Amino acid sequence: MNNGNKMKTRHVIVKCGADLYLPFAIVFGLAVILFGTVSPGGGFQGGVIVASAALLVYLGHGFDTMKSAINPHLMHKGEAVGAIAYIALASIGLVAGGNFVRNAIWNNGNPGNVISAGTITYMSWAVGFKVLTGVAFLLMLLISLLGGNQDEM
Amino acid sequence: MKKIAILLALVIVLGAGISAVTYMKNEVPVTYNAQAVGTDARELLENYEQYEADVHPDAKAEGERNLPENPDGIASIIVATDLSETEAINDVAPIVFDYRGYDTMGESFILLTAIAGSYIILKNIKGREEEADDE
Repeated sequence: MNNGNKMKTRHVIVKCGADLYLPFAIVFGLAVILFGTVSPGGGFQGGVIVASAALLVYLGHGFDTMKSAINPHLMHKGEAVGAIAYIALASIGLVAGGNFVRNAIWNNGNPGNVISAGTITYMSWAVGFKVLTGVAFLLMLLISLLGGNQDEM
Repeated sequence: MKKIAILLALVIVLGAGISAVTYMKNEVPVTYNAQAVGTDARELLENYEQYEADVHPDAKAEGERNLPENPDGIASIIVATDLSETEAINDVAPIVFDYRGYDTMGESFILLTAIAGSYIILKNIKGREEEADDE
């Protein structure tokens, strides 16, 4: 693949901006996932914020760096792991004698703590992991197959 | 041997389903108890003129939140019983993950199937283009 546009130079302002905002995106998104049950936000929103860090890597450093930094097949498998974790955590409600997604083990911690709401907290984390990996994989897929870069994935 | 294992697994799943159905028929799990707060949801739905949705005059005068003093309805029932039932201090979290857990599950599985489907379709398009280039 010796395309001419592969070695396209990127502007230094774009590079520095991506480098500057990358740690903030990751840390802020992970904080939104982690404090999903006690703050505005949650799994979906935090996952999308973390997945936007993958787009920042692409904007700043190109697809080759993005491909070496993030393993797309690991992302695809991680999404399935998140889905299975959600189902397993929701099934705890059945074992405890309630509905399918009933909150079961909630006698841990005081109300307002991060780990306080039982399975709600863990299900929020599972959804966050699932959306994080899924949206990151979707971004990599679209960039590699529909973008101007003709690299294999 | 493989068929026997599959049949055994199916029988186990079927037995678990039947036992769950009979258990839930005998004692239906209560998701939220409307009677504990003092407001009957069905009665409010039938006589909706009884809703106390008037804004408290003092709150409006002071420029604070324009909320009724003692609001009725499903929302107030959930807000009142949420902390004692789920211990989640943010009211939206148990609605998303407990009361409406199936909804969140459907949303995330829509995302999963959409990504898997677009992966398959785009891979096929890419493979066809490469074949055309080779020819």
